[in-house]
Amino acid sequence: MDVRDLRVLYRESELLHGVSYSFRPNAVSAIVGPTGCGKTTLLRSINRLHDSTPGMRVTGSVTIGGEEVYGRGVGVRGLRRKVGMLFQRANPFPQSIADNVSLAPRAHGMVSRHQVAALVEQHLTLVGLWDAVKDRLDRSPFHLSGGQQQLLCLARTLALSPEVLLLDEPTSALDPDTTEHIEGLVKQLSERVTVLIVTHNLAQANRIADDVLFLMAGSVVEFAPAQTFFQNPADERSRAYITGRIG
Amino acid sequence: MAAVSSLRFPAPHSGLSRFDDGLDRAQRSPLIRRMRSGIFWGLCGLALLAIIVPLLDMVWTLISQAAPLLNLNLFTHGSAIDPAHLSAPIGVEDGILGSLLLGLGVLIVAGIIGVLAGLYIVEFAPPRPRAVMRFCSEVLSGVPSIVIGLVGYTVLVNGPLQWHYSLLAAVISLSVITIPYIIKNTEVAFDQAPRSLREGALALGISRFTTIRKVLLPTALPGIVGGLILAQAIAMGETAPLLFTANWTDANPVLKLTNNPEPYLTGVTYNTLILPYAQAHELAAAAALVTVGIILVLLLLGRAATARSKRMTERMDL
Repeated sequence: MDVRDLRVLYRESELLHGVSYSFRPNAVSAIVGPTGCGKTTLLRSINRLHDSTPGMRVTGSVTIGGEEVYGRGVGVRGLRRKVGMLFQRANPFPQSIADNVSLAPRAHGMVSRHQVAALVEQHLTLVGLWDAVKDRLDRSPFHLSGGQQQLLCLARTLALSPEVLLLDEPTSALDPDTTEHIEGLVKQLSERVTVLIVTHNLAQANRIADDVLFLMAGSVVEFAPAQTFFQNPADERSRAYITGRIG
Repeated sequence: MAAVSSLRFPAPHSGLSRFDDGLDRAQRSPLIRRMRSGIFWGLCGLALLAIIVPLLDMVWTLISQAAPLLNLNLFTHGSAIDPAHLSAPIGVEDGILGSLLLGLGVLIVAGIIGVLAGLYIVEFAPPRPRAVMRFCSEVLSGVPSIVIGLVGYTVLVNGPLQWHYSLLAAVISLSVITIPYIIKNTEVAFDQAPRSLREGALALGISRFTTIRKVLLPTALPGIVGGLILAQAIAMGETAPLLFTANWTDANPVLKLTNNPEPYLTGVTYNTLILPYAQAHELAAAAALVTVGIILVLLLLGRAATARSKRMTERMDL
């Protein structure tokens, strides 16, 4: 996955100043940086979530598997099927637990009616939620704990079999146990999915990332393998950020 | 409040606790605090009584005035009063059937137009048309109902369309009155759906139509149904525009859209109250009581209709 000279503008102000890098496929890349540096803006340009925000403009190029995301004639819905996203706060739909998982695959015509139950079980099992919810699949998801709701959202995203997974601080509101569980899942998923994770938590980046992209004020400071970044950063600002002198 | 602005900390060794900053004592000042609290709760109680007492008084007055007629005949006999046979059984069958028919008509006409217009305004319209439509809807909701009745009379009943007094003219006039309420309720209902839900659906590549139907509608449904119920209550209770468009009859309604006067409950009250017979006055009260009863039933139906979507959204952070 390649990003070339990506600029994002909101009205008159430029939020990202020409970001370029190549993400390794089937690896976990962490995007880190101080608050307001453009991490989430970058993540949201990859599945074109800025399209629906009035005043947002994106220039430059993003390619996934050689195909231009911002190219002419690209189906945004098809793109978002292949590029799944998990948000900072769990946002289950006001539908039953089972429908939460099956809604998107059914909307994309990926499953027939009699495959739905198997699809739901498969993906709830994948995220480790099946045993907890198998007896209340037709109940509201809002009775689940925050962590379980986030896992449900992950199952919902995975049910579309995405090729890329965008995670926007997915564990910042969760307890340590669920965080560890999700980190394990992400690591395991990255064997077949390219993962981009925005995180504030450097320890988390250190635990799960293969590569780290360090952003400051809308520009890339450093893009390096995680080990290099954390042990021997090339840029003085990276060193300052890692050691907590800036943040 | 004064205590907050004049925060004073006691000098050391003054014999007071280090944590005593004077605030607690100010709040403990018992008489004023209790009086304030008493006045506040007293006003709350008065406001509550101001709602409940008139309602109970009205229902009780209607029941006591309609008492002689409160039996099954009320639902099986028409409201025609024969001065030669005043002891003959009378009821409001025609009014009930007529009002339900009007309500159904309004539900179809105003329901469809109002919900679609509200949905368009909140989900699809570009800013300028949206502002224009909102403004028009607000102006319309401020037009007195008798003016709408008059316009209905000059255009539909006796104007170019020549429908004469009719069900259709009445339904359209009532719809014009109720549509702004349905639009407003629909708008608010969709608008309060959290942004995170829309983004979640967007990020899954779900189409706009499916998003509205499956993701936003469950949170919006109670509000939409609330608007429809309100419209029904208005349709049941309005009288002025119907005098111009439905006229009135004490015969049961027939399924004829034009050229046929239409019975309705408030028309029974309006037309029998002026008759010089005790039975007629009892009938007026009975018709009013049934009107209130139907509105109550509508409210309960609305609750039942939204129960499922409420179950799916309870405990959701809106």
